[in-house]
Amino acid sequence: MISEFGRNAAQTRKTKLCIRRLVKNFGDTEVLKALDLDVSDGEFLTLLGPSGSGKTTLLRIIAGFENATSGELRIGDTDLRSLTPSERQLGMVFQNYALFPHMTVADNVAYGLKVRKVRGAARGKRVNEMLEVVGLEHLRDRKPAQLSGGQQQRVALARALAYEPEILLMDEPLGALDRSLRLQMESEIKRVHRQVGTTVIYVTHDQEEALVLSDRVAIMNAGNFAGLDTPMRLFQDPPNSFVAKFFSDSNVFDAEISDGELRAFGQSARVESDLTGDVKLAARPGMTRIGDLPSHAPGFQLTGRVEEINLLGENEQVELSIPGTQGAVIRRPIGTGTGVSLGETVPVHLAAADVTVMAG
Amino acid sequence: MTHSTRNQELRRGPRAIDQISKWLGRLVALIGLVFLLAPALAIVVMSFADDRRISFPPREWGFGRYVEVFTSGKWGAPTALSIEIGLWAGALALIVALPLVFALKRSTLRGRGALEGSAIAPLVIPVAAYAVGLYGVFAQLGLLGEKFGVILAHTVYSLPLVVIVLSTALEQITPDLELAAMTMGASRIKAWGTITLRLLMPSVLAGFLMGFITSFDEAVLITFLGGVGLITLPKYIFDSVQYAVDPAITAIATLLMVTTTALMLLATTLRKGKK
Repeated sequence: MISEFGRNAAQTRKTKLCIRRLVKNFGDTEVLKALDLDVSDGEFLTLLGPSGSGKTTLLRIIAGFENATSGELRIGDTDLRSLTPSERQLGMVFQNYALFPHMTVADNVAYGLKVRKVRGAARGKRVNEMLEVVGLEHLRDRKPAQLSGGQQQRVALARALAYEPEILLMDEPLGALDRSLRLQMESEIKRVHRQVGTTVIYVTHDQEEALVLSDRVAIMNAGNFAGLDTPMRLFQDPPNSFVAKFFSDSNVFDAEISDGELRAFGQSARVESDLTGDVKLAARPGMTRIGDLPSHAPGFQLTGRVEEINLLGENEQVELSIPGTQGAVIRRPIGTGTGVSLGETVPVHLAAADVTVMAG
Repeated sequence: MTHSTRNQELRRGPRAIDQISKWLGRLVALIGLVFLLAPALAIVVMSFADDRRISFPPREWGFGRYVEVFTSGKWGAPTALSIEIGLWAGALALIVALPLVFALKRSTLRGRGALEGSAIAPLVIPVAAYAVGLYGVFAQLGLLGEKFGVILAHTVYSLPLVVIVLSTALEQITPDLELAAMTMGASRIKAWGTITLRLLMPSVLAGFLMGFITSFDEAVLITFLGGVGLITLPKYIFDSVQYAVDPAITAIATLLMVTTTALMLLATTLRKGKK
């Protein structure tokens, strides 16, 4: 599997950024709670989380815009916390692009080289190389205000990579773009990352972006890492109900387990799990199905009332209320399965093979 | 009345009020404009008269008054003094305002609101009352009739405008630009100088011009604080109409209006141009 390859590749590479017991307090509020994180050389790591989860704060601490309250932050043997932002050799792409409005595209890209005293032909050559990488050679003499949002973000990318930073930090870089442009820029970022091989730490609240781009995803919740793994593993086998809900929109139910016998909704089914006691049972919307459980297949049979039907392009999403639970969401390709209508009561089932059991 | 006609009535009612208030507003604006501009226009027209006394409409036309302004030698010294004081006041207001707006907009300094309030305060304090207060203070300090004292007073008086010009401009410059420059390796000072200050430069010039104009036009403070020796242009105009009206005033007033308007336009273009 590709994701497994990505994971192993990341593990065998040497560590680029090392974070240990990193704490950030704003007054009495703990914003980051003793975080540990190793980012491998060349890895694309995404910090994903809802707003207020601490992902942007962590990025700003790495960049040096905020001071950590305590903990370690190192690149190799270099202690980043003792360096100013200018000395950290990092690149940063901002959500609002932050291009210098009084400079041309080429001058924006050259800025980091200029302050590093890279002169004349060497500087010009590097600027041309970077503009070529992002495909903007023909716009080199334009001012940022004359560019579209996507073009501006490409300039920001070229500018941050021009002086070969140790790590490229990206703060919700696609947040201001419309959907089709976002998809285009996702491929662009992926291609550039493959081409230059820089270590990237990427902040977003969009799980789709995280899925498409990342070697690994760190899911943040209330200043902690709720999950840290390849996107595929987090998606298929979430470690807890927060990751299940936030990353794969899963339906989560209360359950109880002993000796591999999972009990929920007054029924029971055998599953593969070492857990015992009170647990959570999660099933992704695509794995929660309308209809009766096939006979002899282990699983849970429920009944739900159709509260809402939404069309999501290729898929339709059916929202159900199920007595004794917080309800469930089902996604299926349009035109498949039995048709349902608003207010109708329908059978729903969770096959034991499709559910994930987690401690909390 | 049927249902539909009543609906029409309801709809017509507010629309008529909208129309009336729109035209009333335009009328008031027009009257205001005429009242403000008419005297100014009259002065301009009268400055091109060669009558011995000021009269409207003029009977004889000519450039005699302008010739007199430039040849009589009476206007040179007050003009030079006004320019000198204006330049100092503009520069000093800028020196105070520039760090001030960074403290107001970019720091987490305690009491920012109070600081901003005190910088803007000269705008709302009646200038005559302020002049009386300063008169008392300057008398104690021996600053009455001193050029330095007038420069100080004019600096404080023009500070609000300079602060407003600079702070609105700074608000348009996102702090991320400076952070971006710093991650790219520029020191804090360099990032500030090459990005933020560079982008603020047109407004710095505009602020300086506003400060200069404010001081250049100022007639109340100088009357209280200038003593007998310091005679700026506005003061000289005042003095010369007190006993007898010198017709050359119309020419000097026209020149003042043209210069001030040109400087204001320059300041506005500088501020708009950077976008």
